Amino acid sequence: MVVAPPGAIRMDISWDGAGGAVSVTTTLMPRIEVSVSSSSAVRFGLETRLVLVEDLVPFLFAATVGTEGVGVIATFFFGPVRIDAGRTWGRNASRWGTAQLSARPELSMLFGADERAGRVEPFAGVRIFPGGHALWEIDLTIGRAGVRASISAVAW
Amino acid sequence: MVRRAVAAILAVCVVSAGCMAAPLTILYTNDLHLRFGGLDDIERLIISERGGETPVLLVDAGDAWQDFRTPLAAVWGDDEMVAWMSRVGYDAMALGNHDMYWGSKRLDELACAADFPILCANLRPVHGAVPFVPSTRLDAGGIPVLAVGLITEELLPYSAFPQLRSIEWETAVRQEIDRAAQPEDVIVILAHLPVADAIRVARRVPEIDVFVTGHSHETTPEPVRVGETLIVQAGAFGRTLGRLSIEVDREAGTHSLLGNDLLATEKAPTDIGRGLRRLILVASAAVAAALVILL
Repeated sequence: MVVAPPGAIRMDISWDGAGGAVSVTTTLMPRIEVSVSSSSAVRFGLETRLVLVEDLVPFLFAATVGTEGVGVIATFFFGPVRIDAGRTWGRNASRWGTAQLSARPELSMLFGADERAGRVEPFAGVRIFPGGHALWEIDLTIGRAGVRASISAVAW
Repeated sequence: MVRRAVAAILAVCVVSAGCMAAPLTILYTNDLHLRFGGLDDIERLIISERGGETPVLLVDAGDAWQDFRTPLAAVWGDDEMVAWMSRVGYDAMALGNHDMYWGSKRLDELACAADFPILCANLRPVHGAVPFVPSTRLDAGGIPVLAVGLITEELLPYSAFPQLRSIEWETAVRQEIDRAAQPEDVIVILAHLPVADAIRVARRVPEIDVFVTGHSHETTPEPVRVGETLIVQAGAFGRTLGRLSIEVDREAGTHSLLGNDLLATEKAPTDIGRGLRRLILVASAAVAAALVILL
């Protein structure tokens, strides 16, 4: 749910068939994150994520407000299995869901689906943590739209 | 004359060696997994053991605070389990994979509430502080003990703990012994590892005296021996309390096995109503979120 640990800055760089994207996320307060992004499709994006429910572990719920619209994100985690789902209303209305299985320090498996304009795109992939920790990772997913690759890193 | 002198010297040696040998009882649990039914009985057995003259060490090998198979307890029982373990006076506990499943923040809260150290030597912080320590030194009625924690690499919630890096079990134990052990210490490893993995570590680190294991829910009516190392495990779910009795010869730096028992516990009914309100709250919130996203 909180992509950047408290006090950290997370950077994601990704590529897919439609072009590249970059985003920088930081935690302003324990429940508030701000993310700035730029991509081939949207030159500037700003999103604030507010964690509304965090005391009902294993369930977490957040709302997002940004230049692309408003949305919600729900997370249910069962230890090595984590399920995230979300919805955005606005210019790029979408619904999505992912299930992540962390079996080894170096590797997680990812399965999910993304729905935009009534079209559902299932995808599957791997999340590789070359250092044996999640301070930086490489994601590779494949779906109907093609291959998507990203590199993410967390820094303090 | 010479024969008498030799006999006298030998007698002095035997008497002094006898004085240095001391019995130690290690009571152990593992994989309690929020099963509250057997805790009253375990507590009774602990009190009974402590009533004797032999020093008692009480330890747990992890997975005490969480279990998805008991959904009612899973959303409310962790606080209660930590409070019980503190009340009965656990000396140390190994971190188990399930103990990490509620994430970093919740682990911090539970570790702060515990009156005993949480041990894990093979997960190291790349950045920041963690709510566990690699090892701790304990005093069991005058017998110095170095307890070192280990955790399995299976099924850990890695993405919830981005600041942690895992290192080899053997390396972690070796580093802790080199860093913290005194020559007279009894080396006890609290490991959330199956017996087979403990055997592998014990072969490479022969200084280990006792290995209390977990994760695999095995029972060891007789300790598994690897050289001088004794490896034990007490099943799961609080069905038994393990009792390992050893005699420690501090001068020689050796120990001998006096006995190992798995004391069966009787299961008392658990008041399942206590967690119902929270479970309903969590389930309602999850269903509401699913409806918002899907409809």
